[in-house]
Amino acid sequence: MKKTLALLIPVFLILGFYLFETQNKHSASTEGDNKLSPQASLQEEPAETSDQQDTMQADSDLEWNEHIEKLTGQIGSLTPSPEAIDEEVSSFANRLKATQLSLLYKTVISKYKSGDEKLLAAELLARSPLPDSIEHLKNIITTAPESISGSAALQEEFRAIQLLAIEGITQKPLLRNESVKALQSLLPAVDNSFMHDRIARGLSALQGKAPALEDQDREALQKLLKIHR
Amino acid sequence: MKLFSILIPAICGLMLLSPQSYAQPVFDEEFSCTSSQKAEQYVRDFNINVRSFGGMELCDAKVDTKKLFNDLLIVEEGRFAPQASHALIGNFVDSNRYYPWLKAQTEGMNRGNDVPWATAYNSMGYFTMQDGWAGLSTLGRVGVVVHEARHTEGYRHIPCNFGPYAGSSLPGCDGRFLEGGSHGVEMEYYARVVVYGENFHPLYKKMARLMALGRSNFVFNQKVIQPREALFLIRKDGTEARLIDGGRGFRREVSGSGFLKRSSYGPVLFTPDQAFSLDAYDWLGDTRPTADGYSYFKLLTLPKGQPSGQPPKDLEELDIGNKRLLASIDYQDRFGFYNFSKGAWGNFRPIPGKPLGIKTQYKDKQGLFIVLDNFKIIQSLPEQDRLVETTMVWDANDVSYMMGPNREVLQLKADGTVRTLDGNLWIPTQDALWGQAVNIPLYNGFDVR
Repeated sequence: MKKTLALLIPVFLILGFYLFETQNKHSASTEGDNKLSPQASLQEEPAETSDQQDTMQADSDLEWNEHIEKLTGQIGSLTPSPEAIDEEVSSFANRLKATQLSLLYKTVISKYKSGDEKLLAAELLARSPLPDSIEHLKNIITTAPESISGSAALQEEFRAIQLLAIEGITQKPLLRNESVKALQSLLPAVDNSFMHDRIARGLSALQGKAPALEDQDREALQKLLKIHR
Repeated sequence: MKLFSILIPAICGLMLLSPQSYAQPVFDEEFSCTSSQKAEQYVRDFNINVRSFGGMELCDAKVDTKKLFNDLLIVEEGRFAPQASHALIGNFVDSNRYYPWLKAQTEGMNRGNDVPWATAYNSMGYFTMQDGWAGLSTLGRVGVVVHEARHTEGYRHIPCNFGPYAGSSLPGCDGRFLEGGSHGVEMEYYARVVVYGENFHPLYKKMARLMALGRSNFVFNQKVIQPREALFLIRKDGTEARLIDGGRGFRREVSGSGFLKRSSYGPVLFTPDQAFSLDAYDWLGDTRPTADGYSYFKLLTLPKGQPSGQPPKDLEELDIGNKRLLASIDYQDRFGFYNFSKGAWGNFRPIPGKPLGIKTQYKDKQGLFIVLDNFKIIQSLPEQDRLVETTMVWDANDVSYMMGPNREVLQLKADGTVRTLDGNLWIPTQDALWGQAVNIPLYNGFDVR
């Protein structure tokens, strides 16, 4: 038995050391801006061979997917600190690259992604400070819900995401002029009265003539609850 | 031997914390698995047919069983601020008792796809969740569970007057929010999450807000959240306007001249080739005309925005259900609509007679009424894509019909007076003579000063 033990201990120690090293490498690779951008990694290190690029792409894709999966999973959970989660979502949105915005847009209009993932993707586009995000949000707003799903419930949920997209365009302080132009171009392109009103009210809010859409909504819902009185 | 028995679990423990597994979201503290005790409680409390949901699954949120466990945890442990229960006198469901209420209304839960057009259905307290339920966000799924539970208490739907379910043989609406039916209870839950929710995910709250606002638009035959109607009148000499909002009257400027029209954003002065918006909310002390940038009248200034390429004879914006229409009489006296999906005007059709203009109200009826030069009325039926001759005749002494603050029908007469249908002077406007009047929408979020 002692012999067996003597053989096993070095094996375990080597295995433990290997795992420790791998963990360190993994942590290092997730540092900095690159961790969310497979495309950016490729651009910054053009000397990599094709095989290495594929590996890096796969690793970065994996990290991207894991991060999205983690943030998506949180939506279905309760939290003692909503503010911390809110900051995490904003931080992620602030680090997005233009190429990743396209991935998010595809998620929102996908027929197969989960409701929470679509919601997260739309919210990330809404919070992204990149100019391209506005075009993606516009495309969401003009997409017919019927093209997303045959299910009435899923179409309704997509309508809610379209409302989120309108709100998102109004929440980009650094892109105010682009946001105004985007909303103005949407006004004659939408025939749903509720959406049209929301675009007009969002435009008004952007121009400082009305409270933010979120505040307008909260007031309406507070009144709804008081109807009980 | 002793050392061996210590080392094996230690190494196994180290392997569990290996980078590969540590990176998996299932081990992330914020992406928690449901405990087996909690899962057993839910299966017991709601008589869940676990197999039909894909078998017992405590961690993977892609499996429907785990989705349901997440939903029930949110119902059980979602917290509302204490004022939620005080503010809601006569509430449908006590905000502190969603879980026991849901449990009491549920005989069992199954997963199936036997009624694919439905999201879920309730048969004598047994809920069957369909594929539509599984594809929803967490907020949507919780809303479905709350909604179905109300059906156990005997609340049923009725056919819809408008919206996506209108015209369907299947009942999908409630009469109004205050009836407290399944849609009402669902809406109440969403509104509480938004206004009083304490430990919900920010995106769950945001979705609750947007779903509450969006769905309220078409699941009640009487709309819950909508702009209030006000009356906007311009004096006969065109120097000043008045807004009548409920029982209050406000002086308003008239910046520009033209035909007064109702737009989705407020009063508009329409000239054949452009439109100016009037401020209904405030007296600005500025009478310079402001080009309309919010309503469909803005189309007049856009390339290809004018019907048949020329300034129109008349233009009206009107909501029918959730659909907003833009109708026009073109310069050749033909009638047509703007086609939003194509981003262009549709086909114009001849009007049987010489049109004077379009009215959106005739007595207590609202719609699109084309008044001819012999005062006969042709009605447009947009949903049937038809123009029909009617027996209605416009009185040459009437300028327009409007709804008063108490839903009374008012008429602006050519002599400048505003009267009720039985001919009595309408007191709030007797101090001046009026040339034009329309109803306009006012939004609750905007202050009227």
